[in-house]
Amino acid sequence: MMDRYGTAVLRTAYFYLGDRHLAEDASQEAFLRAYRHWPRFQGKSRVHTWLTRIVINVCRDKMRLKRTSAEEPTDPIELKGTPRISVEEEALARLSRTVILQQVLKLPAHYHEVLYLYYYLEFSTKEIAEVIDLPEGTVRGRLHRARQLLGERLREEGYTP
Amino acid sequence: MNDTDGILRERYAKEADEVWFRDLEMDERLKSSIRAQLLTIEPRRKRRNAAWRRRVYPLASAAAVLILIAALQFGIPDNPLDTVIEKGNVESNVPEGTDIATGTPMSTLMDPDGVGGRRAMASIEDAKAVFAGRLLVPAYVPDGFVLTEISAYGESEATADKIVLRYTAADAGEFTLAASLSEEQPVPGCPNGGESIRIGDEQGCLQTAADGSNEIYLTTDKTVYVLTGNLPADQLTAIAETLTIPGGE
Repeated sequence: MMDRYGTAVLRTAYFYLGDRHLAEDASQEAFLRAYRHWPRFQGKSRVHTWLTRIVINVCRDKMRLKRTSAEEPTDPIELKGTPRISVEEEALARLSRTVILQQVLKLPAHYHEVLYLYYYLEFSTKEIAEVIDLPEGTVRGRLHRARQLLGERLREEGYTP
Repeated sequence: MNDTDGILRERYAKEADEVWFRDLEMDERLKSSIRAQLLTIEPRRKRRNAAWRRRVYPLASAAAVLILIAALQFGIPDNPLDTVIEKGNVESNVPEGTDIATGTPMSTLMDPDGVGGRRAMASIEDAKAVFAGRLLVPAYVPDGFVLTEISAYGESEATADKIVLRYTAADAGEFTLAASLSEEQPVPGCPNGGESIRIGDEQGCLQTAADGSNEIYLTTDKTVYVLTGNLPADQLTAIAETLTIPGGE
């Protein structure tokens, strides 16, 4: 399971937490939780979806803890607004060379999560609803608006896919 | 997804790999660390289960005595199983000369795991139908064991995706076979610890709890089979090795 989904789980944790060490801790905890619940895995969803839901919950727990113990806000959505991921100059330089990510980061924070799950993890709206615990209709609406805004911004920048 | 979406998805993934996730892989160091954690957690989990059992068993015993008193007071039907399991549907699992009526009556409780509603099924044929005929059941059960419960779990009978067969013996405890459908091929072997074993042509996994109970995991044909019971590992393995589709294929 780790061989197959380990990197995806680690990257999702990194997406939420924006820190490699925290992401490794979260991935470790996610696999331990998955191990404990493996006998009860019903196969109602894909293993990848199930694991993603677990790791997102772990990340949310960690952010909740951090929020209560530190003054710094750690909303995962805000991470992209103030891109902690790209604090290094090199990363900023790489980001400046991107087309899509630059525009994604300019969108309101709550759209980043659905775009990541939809575009990067290639989840369906049903799966996204499952992993972030929202009604599928809400996810559809949010994703529709996110893609619409992203399209507008890309057109403004002269990018036509 | 339209073409534009496809292009955006491809571009998003490429840029995310280059900018956010560059060199971010789950390496052997992290995997080893997780495996080490798994080894330390296993005994703790079992101990907690054992403590839970110590707390619950006295209450369960008291409840059983009350039920027995109530049953003696109001009487019991001659053969409570006749209404739920038709005789003749489970011959291959019932040792010769054993009366199925001596088994445990079927429970009408909801799923104790809280996973969907439980529905009692009348026969193995009904249970097979839930799995489109692909349900494997043991052709061999140890002497004294009889099939006493067939349950389907799911939001409705049409969407049931788990079948549990319970076998009990008057003085030798019980074992269960739980079969869960999966949308994709489940990970075979022991993805999370345990002893990897061969079950016929398949890779299975044996886990032994501190209280001596054993569990065998087997994945086949997009289905996860879990055989659990207080039987010795070799006996449980022998049962697992006879898993076949009853009456065919």
